[in-house]
Amino acid sequence: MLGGFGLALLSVVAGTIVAGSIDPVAFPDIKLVCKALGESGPECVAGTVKAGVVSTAGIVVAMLVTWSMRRALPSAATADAPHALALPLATASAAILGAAYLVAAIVAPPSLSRVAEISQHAALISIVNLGWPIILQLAAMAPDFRTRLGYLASLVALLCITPYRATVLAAAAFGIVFPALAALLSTARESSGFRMRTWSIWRWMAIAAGAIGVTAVAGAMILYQTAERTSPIFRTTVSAGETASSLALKLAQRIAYPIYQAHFAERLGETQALPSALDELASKLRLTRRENLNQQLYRRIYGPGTVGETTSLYYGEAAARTSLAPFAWVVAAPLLYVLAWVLLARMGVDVGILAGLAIWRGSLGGTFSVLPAFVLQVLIIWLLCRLTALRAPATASNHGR
Amino acid sequence: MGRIVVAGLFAVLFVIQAASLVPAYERSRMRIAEVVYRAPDPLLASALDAMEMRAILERVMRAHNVRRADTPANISVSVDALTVEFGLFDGDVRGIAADFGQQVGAASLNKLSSGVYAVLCGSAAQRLSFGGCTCSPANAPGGPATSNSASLPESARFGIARLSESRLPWLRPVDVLAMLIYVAAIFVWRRGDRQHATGSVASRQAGVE
Repeated sequence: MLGGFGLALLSVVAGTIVAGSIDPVAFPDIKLVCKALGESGPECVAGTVKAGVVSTAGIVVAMLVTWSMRRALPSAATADAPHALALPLATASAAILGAAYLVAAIVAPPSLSRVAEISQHAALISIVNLGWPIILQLAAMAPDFRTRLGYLASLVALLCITPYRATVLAAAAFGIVFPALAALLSTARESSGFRMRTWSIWRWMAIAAGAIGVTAVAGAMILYQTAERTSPIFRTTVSAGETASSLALKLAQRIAYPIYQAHFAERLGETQALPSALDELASKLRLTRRENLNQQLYRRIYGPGTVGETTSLYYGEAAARTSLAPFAWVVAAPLLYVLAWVLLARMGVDVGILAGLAIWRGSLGGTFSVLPAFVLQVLIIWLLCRLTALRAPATASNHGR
Repeated sequence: MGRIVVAGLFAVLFVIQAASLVPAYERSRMRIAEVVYRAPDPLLASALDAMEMRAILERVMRAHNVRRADTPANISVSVDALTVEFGLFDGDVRGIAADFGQQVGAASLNKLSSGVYAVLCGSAAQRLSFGGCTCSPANAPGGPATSNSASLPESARFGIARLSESRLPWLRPVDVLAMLIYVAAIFVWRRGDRQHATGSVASRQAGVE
């Protein structure tokens, strides 16, 4: 949960700082946003920084509210999942999806465009996007290393199918880094100061090394790919042989772009009717073929015929869809997931990872783009936990005999 | 028994992952083709200067292990004392095009305006079947010069992105990581099966005592 808030805060703070310190004209994608709005560079930057500051303040307030109700929050997993059933199920699902992807890659005509390829396998990728957080949640509930490793194997099988690098980043963060940080804090709290025993120090160092190693590998992979993905930013740098600067420019655009997109959503929402929350839910549940908000915003930026989705943040979602002040929605939206987490924990179901992921993903794409998947994932975890609860009395009675 | 099934499922995952590397490799080759087909967009060229164009095309050639001697039609262009030969690039286009059963005219490099290049289709007004790239008469070799557009269109942006992506290794780190985890999982679960059996016997004995 804290990890979800942390990532959300990190992305808006970094985005706001970068957005306020760059010249939009030097960044092709950002330039397109400002051009589509008909705004000059300074005007575009000012609107974007406002969106970033409000988003940052809203998430900080949401974090403070969550902190203030910490006594009511669940401290640990309250129920076990039936791992004897869930693990084979997860592994078999991963094998089936992997096989389906392999068959599709061999049989279907190869797409030359990455975007076309994603569209071609859209259904499969959607199922993967729905499934991997469930496996991550089950891994967090695993009682031992062996079971956790089993879930991890199923998880990476799904990560290999999805083309989105953010998925790998999220899995590394929520599956390894955040649990490692929690273990570090726990170890430090248990044996602090001079009383820290040797084994505690070694354990602490091993966990820290593991977390740093995973972060470094995942970060290096993403940095390498970003460096290799040439963009028009290349134009300004390669002739001078400044590859490193080129990477820095790409990263700057990557970090700042969501805030510009939120500003774009706000400005567009002032004058035009954009897809409603109901449209978004229907689109996510495949009940309609109409565009959702982020798809429409993308098309407005890049022109007709283009396929993609923007990341309009909680801020852009609020500005485009509601009459609320965006700040109110930026505070309220993540708290919906906190509330769901607390209520479910009281029912004996731990969905901390799912809620944390939803807060982070929602902070990029908006609440309603994440909500349907969150509800389905929670339902599946709840069903699995109910199965355990149903099986427990039978086991107890067997022991009784 | 359940543990054997789970270990078997990990083995299945390993096999699937290994098999998926074959189409991934093929796909990486095809992406190079896409780059070539998208590159003819003169608007793409307008976003690049000569040095960039050369650097990118050389990357493609290296990635595709192209040898200069194979060229069917060497093309040399000299602008601002910078000479670039793209003959094998052309040959590569033809080779890949044949794989897809596509017919394309000879690619050529044309100077559109000072310091700005475009790779163009040989025949005028030919529409390529990839990405809706059109070679209009105005852009054909020898045709009238096209002004360098200040704005950057989506087609150009997209073309460059695909071009660079062809350089990405087809064997992704996540593939390697996955296969290592599968092996570890198979090992741990198989070993766990034995330990579980031993543990069960010990528990039963303890219970009897």
